[in-house]
Amino acid sequence: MARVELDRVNKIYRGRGIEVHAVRDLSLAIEDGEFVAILGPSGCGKTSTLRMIVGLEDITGGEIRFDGRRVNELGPEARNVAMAFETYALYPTFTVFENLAFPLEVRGLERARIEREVREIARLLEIEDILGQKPGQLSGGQQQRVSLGRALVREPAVFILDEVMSHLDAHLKFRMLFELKRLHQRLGRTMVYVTHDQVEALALADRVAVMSNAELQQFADRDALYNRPANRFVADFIGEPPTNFFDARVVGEGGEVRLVVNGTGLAFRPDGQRRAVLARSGAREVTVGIRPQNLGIEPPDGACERIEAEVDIFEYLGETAILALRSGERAFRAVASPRHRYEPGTPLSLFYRPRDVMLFDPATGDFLA
Amino acid sequence: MKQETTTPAVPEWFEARRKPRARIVARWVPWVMVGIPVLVLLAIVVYPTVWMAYHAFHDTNMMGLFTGRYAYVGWQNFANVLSDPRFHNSVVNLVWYLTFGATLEVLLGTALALILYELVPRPGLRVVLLVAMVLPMMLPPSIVGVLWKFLLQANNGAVNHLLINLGLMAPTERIDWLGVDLSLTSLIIADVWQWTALPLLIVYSGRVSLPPAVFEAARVDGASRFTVLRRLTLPMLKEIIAIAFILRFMDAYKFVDKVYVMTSGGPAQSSELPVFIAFQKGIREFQIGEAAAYAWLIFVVAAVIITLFLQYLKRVLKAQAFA
Ligand SMILES: Nc1ncnc2c1ncn2[C@@H]1O[C@H](COP(=O)(O)OP(=O)(O)OP(=O)(O)O)[C@@H](O)[C@H]1O
Ligand SMILES: [Mg+2]
Repeated sequence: MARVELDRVNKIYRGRGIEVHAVRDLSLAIEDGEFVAILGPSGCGKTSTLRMIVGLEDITGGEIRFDGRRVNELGPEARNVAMAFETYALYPTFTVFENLAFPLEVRGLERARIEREVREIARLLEIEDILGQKPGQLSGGQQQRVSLGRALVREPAVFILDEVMSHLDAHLKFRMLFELKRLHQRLGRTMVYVTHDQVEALALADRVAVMSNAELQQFADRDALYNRPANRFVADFIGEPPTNFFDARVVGEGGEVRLVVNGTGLAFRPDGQRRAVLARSGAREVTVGIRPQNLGIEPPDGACERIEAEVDIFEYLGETAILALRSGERAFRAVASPRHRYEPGTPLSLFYRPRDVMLFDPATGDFLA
Repeated sequence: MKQETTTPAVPEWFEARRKPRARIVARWVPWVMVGIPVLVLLAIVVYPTVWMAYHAFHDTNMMGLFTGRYAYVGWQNFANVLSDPRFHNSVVNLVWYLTFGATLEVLLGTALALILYELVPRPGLRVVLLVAMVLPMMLPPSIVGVLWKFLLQANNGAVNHLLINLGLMAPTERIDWLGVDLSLTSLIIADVWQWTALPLLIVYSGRVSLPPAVFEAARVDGASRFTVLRRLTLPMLKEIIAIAFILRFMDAYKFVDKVYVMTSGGPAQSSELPVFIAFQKGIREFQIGEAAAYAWLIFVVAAVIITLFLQYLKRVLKAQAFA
């Protein structure tokens, strides 16, 4: 049981003449029993952050606290954490059973108890049939589940899981995510889960920390990430397909404010709250963001506005379809129902709600309203 | 209109090489190139082996060799060797030497390699220590023999002086390192001094190539350093250590150079090994027949042991899915 705090944590790798600033001024407060996901593109410093929490990597600057106690100087054995490694790191001379049993064995648990716990976790991860095999004989997905199992078999203060589902097929991943969530609910332990798959992160976590370029972009629950992204990066990274961005000029005054997209015939009308923010800032240029899901062919309930465009490509995805649209030189996307097919070149009216228009500072990318 | 020429898919120089008659070298060249090594092998390996097998069944000695008069004696030479107490004594010596020499080298080498890796944090210092420990291996064995013979002299030897100066021994006392009781031990000391670095190098490089993530996982799992060593490091290095042992064993089995230089097998045959007796009988006393029988016995035992080793290696490699 532990509340994990990262206070302006930095990690700099120094090698022959080169310096990599892998984590920059990262501050996070993870509550006791919380399930937190760290989400970000490859190379943004997720694994480095985890390794500092676990104690496998020196902390270049800042402080990490478990329940208010500074742990910077403690080794991993003293922090009572369990970790599943991105590279699995299975013990090659042990069988799967022995791999799973090792963390319990070094804690001096009795044989029968170890046997029971290992079987239980193996059942959960669907690896009962390979308990007698050595890691070298297993498939990537099997090795990954053994590595996950070795972390989950213990009951540490904090679970640290580094991309533990990346090699599983969609069905298996779905079941494993479900089991993991259930396990978390049953044990109530703090869990930090790293992934670059937003579906996993949003499905599991109470809160998600989005990282990019060694820095924390936003630490919030899914609703905030989706509707009030901290900046353009988060708006772009969260959501599938990615958000449409337009550079626009602010035209008109008061209730007649329109955001005219440069080089096209498109113009968006924000709602009252956003107009107020614009008026207060006095900005003449903004970046407009609108999610493809919020651009519909049929008018939504309540107040809505419309824009005109032309169909470029109709992409059928089964349950939904993605429309690649064009207005002048600008291409953008909308999500449509797959019931109706659109031929390229068809002119189309699209509807949106004024309150779904997101505004970003064009220079810094910060969220305005 | 001019007909379009199609460019060949394969360049011309390549085609030329593929033509059956276009040879790079004359037909006899490969025969000569393979033939010379084959002839050399026949001359220095196959011929002496067959020659030796022949003479092992004859009462050949120096006279017989020159006059060409020697008689067939059947298994007599082998019977002589096997019933010779000198041979029995040398086999006992060999077993001592192998168990204490080769084994000690591998144990010490492994321990030093792991200490170097685990307890010396600075890579620069590690390399310096490694080089220092490897130096003895670069000396010729006979030189090492001479060196230790001087160091171990009973009256003026440096080792006895050292023991006296350290107060471990009364000033009047002398340890007769090259005497009957200790001659074999002294040989082992000299050999261990020279060859411990080989297993050290092998095990060290094996340890360096083990994946670090496994050891990080063990730390996170809460295993103590001793548990990691016993349960993970040593089992993962098992095959590497076995190979180091096989190398040292093979070398120790034919060990003769230091025996010759330091003790000549004495005093009173106390440090004699089978290979040394074969050498004595054949080259010194020209008892060709009996020396050949010795050599064959040594050869057969070596063949059996090496076959067992290779079988072990094959099993290991297969278990690791390399073979
Ligand atoms: N031991 C190291 N030495 C030097 N640089 C390193 C080291 N480990 C990581 N880095 C660098 O630090 C940065 C962040 O790496 P990190 O492994 O934390 O990324 P990540 O977010 O986990 O990426 P991925 O999703 O690909 O696993 C990268 O630029 C990487 O090159
Ligand atoms: Mg990573």
